Amino acid sequence: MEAVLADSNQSGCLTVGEGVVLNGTFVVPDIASVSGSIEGDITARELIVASSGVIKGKVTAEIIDLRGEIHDTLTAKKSLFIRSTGKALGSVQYAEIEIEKGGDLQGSLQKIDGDGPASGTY
Amino acid sequence: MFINKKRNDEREKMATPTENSQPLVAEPEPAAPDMSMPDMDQGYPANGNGNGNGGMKPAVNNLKPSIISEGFEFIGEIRSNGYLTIDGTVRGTLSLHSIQIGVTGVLDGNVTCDTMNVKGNFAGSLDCRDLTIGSRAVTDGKVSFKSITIQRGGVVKGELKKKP
Repeated sequence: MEAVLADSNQSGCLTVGEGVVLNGTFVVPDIASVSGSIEGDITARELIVASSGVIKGKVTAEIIDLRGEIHDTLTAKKSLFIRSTGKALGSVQYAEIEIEKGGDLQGSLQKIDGDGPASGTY
Repeated sequence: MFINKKRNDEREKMATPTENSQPLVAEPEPAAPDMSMPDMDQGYPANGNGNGNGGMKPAVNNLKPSIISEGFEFIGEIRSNGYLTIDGTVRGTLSLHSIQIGVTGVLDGNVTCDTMNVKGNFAGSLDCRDLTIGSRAVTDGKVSFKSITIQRGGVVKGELKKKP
């Protein structure tokens, strides 16, 4: 699914392949798809972290789909979805959250007021 | 004449079931446990996969679930190796095998259990193995767990810690 999303509209997207290591601050207007490793801050509309993806730093996105790991600070303005292989450690802010069984969530949690649910209803 | 008398007896039985339940020892508590059983099975996943429940003694299978009903408020300490369903309000210290907080349920206090299923409201500190937070649930406080599931819409606030 992430490949389809990234391929169909490349403008404003960031794709970090497996094995790629990035350092720095990243502002992504659309979708950031991370299979590699990022150290630093990343802001995106939608962030997809594959199971091999690791992000250490301040992460801000409207929608976060997490199969890999995010350390430090994580803000999901709309929805945070932690899959069974996903790991979120540190300070977590979210408007809406879902965790699959096996997913790991540790640290301090805070619910923020989002613009509304990303899709569907409660 | 005889038949009529029998019919009358039956009619009386139906009209006043609570009074008649006393001598019928063969059918203990007919209504309440039966009604809650279907929900019970969904609510306690530990029932099926009882492996590796953190050194805790497995729940006694023939132990009947205890229910704090809606509108019922309990303040104090509960200790059991069985199941507790909370639809009312419980404040205090709980040590149980499995707890289910119903949609109307409120639990406030220090809780130690194997399986926790929150559909209502929880506040306080929780130490459990398997935690499930439903879509209408609100959880606030210090929580430590081995496995967590949050359904979409569930609200979790406070500190979360995963046990090794």
